[in-house]
Amino acid sequence: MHTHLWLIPFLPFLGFLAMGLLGRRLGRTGVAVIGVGTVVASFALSLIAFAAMKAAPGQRLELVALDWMAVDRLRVPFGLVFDPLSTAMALAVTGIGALIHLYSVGYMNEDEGYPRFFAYLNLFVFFMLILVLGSSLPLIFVGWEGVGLCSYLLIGYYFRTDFAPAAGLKAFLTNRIGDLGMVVGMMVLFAHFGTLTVGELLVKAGGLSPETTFGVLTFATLMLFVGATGKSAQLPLYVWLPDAMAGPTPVSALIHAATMVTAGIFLVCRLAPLFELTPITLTVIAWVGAATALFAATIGLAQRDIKKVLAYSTVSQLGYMVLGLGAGGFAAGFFHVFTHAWFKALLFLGAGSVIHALHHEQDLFKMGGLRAKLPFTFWTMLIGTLAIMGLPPFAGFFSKDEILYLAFLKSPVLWGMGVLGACLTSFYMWRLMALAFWGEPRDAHAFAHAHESPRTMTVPLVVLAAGSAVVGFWGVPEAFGGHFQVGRFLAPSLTYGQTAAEAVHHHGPAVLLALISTGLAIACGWWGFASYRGGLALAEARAARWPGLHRWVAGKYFVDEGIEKVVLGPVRWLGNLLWKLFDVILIDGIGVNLPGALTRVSGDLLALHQTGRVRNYALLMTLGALGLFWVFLR
Amino acid sequence: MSFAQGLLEALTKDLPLLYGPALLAVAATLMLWPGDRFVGRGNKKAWAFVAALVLLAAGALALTAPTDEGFNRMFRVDGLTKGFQALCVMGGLITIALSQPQLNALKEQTVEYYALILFSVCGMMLLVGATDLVSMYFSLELMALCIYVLVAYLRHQERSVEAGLKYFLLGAFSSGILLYGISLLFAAAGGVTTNLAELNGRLALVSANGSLLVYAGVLMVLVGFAFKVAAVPFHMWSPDAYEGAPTPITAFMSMAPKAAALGAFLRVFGTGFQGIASDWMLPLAYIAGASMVLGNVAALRQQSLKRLLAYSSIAHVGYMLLGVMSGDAQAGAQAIWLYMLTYLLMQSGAFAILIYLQGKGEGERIDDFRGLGRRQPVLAFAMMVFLLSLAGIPPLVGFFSKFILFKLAIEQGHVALTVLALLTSAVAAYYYLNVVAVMYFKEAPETERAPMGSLATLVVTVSCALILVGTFFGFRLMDWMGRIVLG
Repeated sequence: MHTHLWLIPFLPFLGFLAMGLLGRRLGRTGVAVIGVGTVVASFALSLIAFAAMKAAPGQRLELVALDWMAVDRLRVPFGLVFDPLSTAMALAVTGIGALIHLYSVGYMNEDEGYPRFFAYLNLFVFFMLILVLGSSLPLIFVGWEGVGLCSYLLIGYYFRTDFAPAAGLKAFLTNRIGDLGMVVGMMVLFAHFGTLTVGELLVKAGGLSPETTFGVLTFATLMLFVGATGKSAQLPLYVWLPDAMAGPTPVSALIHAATMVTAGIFLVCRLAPLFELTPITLTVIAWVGAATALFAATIGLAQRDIKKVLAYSTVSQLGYMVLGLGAGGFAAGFFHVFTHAWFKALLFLGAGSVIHALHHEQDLFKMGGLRAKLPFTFWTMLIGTLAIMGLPPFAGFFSKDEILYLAFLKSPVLWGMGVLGACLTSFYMWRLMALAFWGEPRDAHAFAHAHESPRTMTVPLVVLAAGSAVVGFWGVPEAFGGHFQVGRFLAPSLTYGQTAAEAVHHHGPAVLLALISTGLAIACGWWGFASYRGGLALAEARAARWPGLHRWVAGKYFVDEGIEKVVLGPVRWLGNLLWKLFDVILIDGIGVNLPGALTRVSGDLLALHQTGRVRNYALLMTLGALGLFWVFLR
Repeated sequence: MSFAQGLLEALTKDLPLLYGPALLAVAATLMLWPGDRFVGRGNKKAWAFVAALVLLAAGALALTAPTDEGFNRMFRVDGLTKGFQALCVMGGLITIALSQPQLNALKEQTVEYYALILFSVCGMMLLVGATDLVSMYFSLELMALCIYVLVAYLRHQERSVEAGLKYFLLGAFSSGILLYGISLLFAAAGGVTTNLAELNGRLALVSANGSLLVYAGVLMVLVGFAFKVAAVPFHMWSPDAYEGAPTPITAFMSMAPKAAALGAFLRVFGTGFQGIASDWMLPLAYIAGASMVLGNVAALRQQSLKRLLAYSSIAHVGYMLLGVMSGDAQAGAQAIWLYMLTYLLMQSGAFAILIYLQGKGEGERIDDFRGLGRRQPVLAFAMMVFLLSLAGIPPLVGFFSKFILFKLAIEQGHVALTVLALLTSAVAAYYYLNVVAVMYFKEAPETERAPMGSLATLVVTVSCALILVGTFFGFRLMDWMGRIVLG
């Protein structure tokens, strides 16, 4: 009856198989058709599922294909779950995924690894859908690791360069740290509840009295959140995300802005009733989120690479989502995931369009004056900028405002950090816009050759811009006369049949707070725009006035260098020691090669008895028989 | 009732038990005369076809024979008989399939060759069903005599003749020991019977007092059988005979007679002499352990693949003897049968490839496999599957058969010996993988490709496919087969 729902994740997988196995034999057109087609089809199916979910809110559909693991107490089904949360997320993944596939058709046009790229991209969509739709934590983990793998493959896509494979490795390894947390969390949950199926887990958790399970749950949820900080690039595991921009720009847009990085937030939402029981974890989450939002935004102020700016912006925006979760607003956090997916994908694809136009020039200081040359890109990116700075009524306003309001309810300090971060966001985004599109062209040659991108690239931009402008209306907060529909839609998934802890809404300060934060954001935006509209002079003067500060911010607070010195150095030293002492001498030498050599020598000796003379053989046989007889007599 | 009438009645009553071997004996005789009047002696294809057909028919007859005992309790058809008879027939068929190119190249005569194979398979089929030491001895000799001749079949090659002669001399020596042992047991049991079951009952009573006579007798019988399966220290003939014999006969020796001798081993020791198990268990344990160690270690340094396979088959016999030592005869027989079956598959595939390469003037030496991975990737892949399976690397089928055998041995309390088996398996992995490494990582000059014969291709394909299928179904499939055949 619902078997067609299996196609949602497995269509992209089939596409991956086809492209991965047949590769170049399909031809460019074949690859493009399969790559885009499977994801679009999967999007259409998600849309149907979503519509069905909208029509009958609160329903939950669990499809089980087979018993995947059945060992002792452990029973893990291979199943998918369709509920408001997973369908909404699946819709976002396939929708944005389809647009980015389409965009890639144009962007990667001149690349020789065309089939490989689309195969990876399809595989990513498959794993992301498994992550989103999986009905048990192990299956979610399969998707979780799968997207990590695809992210690694795609970051390192330009494998002939030095930095891309290194960046891929960095992303993978950093994520492993988080994954360890997630595995530990899963094990604790299994030990405590005896199940890893999300549905059973939440039912059992709801049935227990909070007092008895408080410690275990807090530990488990904190561990799961460690996993989330890895995937969702929170402090201190955010370091991989900016480097991940070494991958092709559509990848940055799809994986490292819109979908994969939100997996951590999704995981928390998926297990929201569990987190609801652990206020300590929630507080930790809120502070980590706020700190990340602010910290990353400051770094974004001084980056020259257009994609790096957007990367730090992504880290910062993820911080907002996490802050929302920590403030108890799971729906708000998820809503920001949703709106952010639109406008950040838009900004990245816009940046990609600029980079494409300038023949892979990513340095903002070498751009300038592109407004007239790239009109589509300019206008769509402008909408993206307005959305991310939180200008009403664009998408970012509603979601960010809801988060900030909930943060205020939790602690005004959190709100203050959030607002400051929003101001910085506004500043660096307008700096980016001013440097790219206003002023005099600073690289005459690149400017002269700049051209607007092909249709396959501009169409997704326009669609995403339209989305960025309007999707916010899905969740207009009650303070502004809306009904926060997204919250109502998701409520069944987030509360899971438990009595919902309805947040008490004081409508009084909400509007005032929104006015303050929006006003400040606009002011900072203007400041950023005004500082860079005329060129680099003002910025350089400012940097010269505070050289120390500028060095720190532009150097990303030297976090990477610090990690290199404090963590990697000793680890490398230890690895070297283990390699040379334990591996080479003890294991290889005494453990393996010595017995090997002894065996070989005895083989040579044994071969001596094979003299080839029958009389010797007969003698040896007799001696053997006598030897056996001796065994008896003894 | 006259004597003639009684004889006739006995024959007609019991003959259905022997339809299979009888058909082989009659057909082989007819092939030699007057068969060669109708089909030319040099017509290799026709003779191979006839021999294969006869073997198939004999196999079918054997499998459908009634489960019964006959000929004055000298021969018995049961699950064990049928299971091992099937293995012998398979071994014979595979050998016939592999023989053609070799015989063509050597321009040897063929009627005799195929007739000898049929006669020896006849001997094997009788051997695995023999329940009396006398009938067992006669079938053993029928099998062995044919093989001596087959080993020396390349009469223009010194190597082959020498190997055959050596094998014959040592075989005669061991037969003498075996026969002497039988006579001692006959005497110890009071000189009234050579039937295994009766002998067992009588000897058990004698042996309770720790009789030297019984021990000497059992030990000599053990030596005789250990020689037939080439277990240490009675293995010396096998590397020389393997190397010197025509390669298809080497393949034959490593499959069919081995299966038959192991079947007889099971019959005599596993199910027969259970009453005096304390007398032979320890020597057998020594023989098994020594076979594992020496077989594997000596195989390490071999340059010739034929010798390598000879030594490794000594080691495999060592493993299989673990099954003979099992107190649970049924489980032991099943484990050995499964092991032998998988061994047959892997061995036939490996030999098919070896013979093919030999046809191109290569293949004896491991070095001849250099670069096979590049030159003939499909063939190299199949060879890799055979070798990895022989090494018992999971998830290939060779792993499952080893696992079942070792698990049984541990359950029966032979822990130390099983540990030894595991350790020596690690050594085995080295020399098998070495061949794989040579195939894939050593370069070789490009040589022209001759197409592989269709029969050899069939053998390689079928055994490789069965190994891979077994890989996916593993235990279930093997357990099922063990139950069906051995019941």
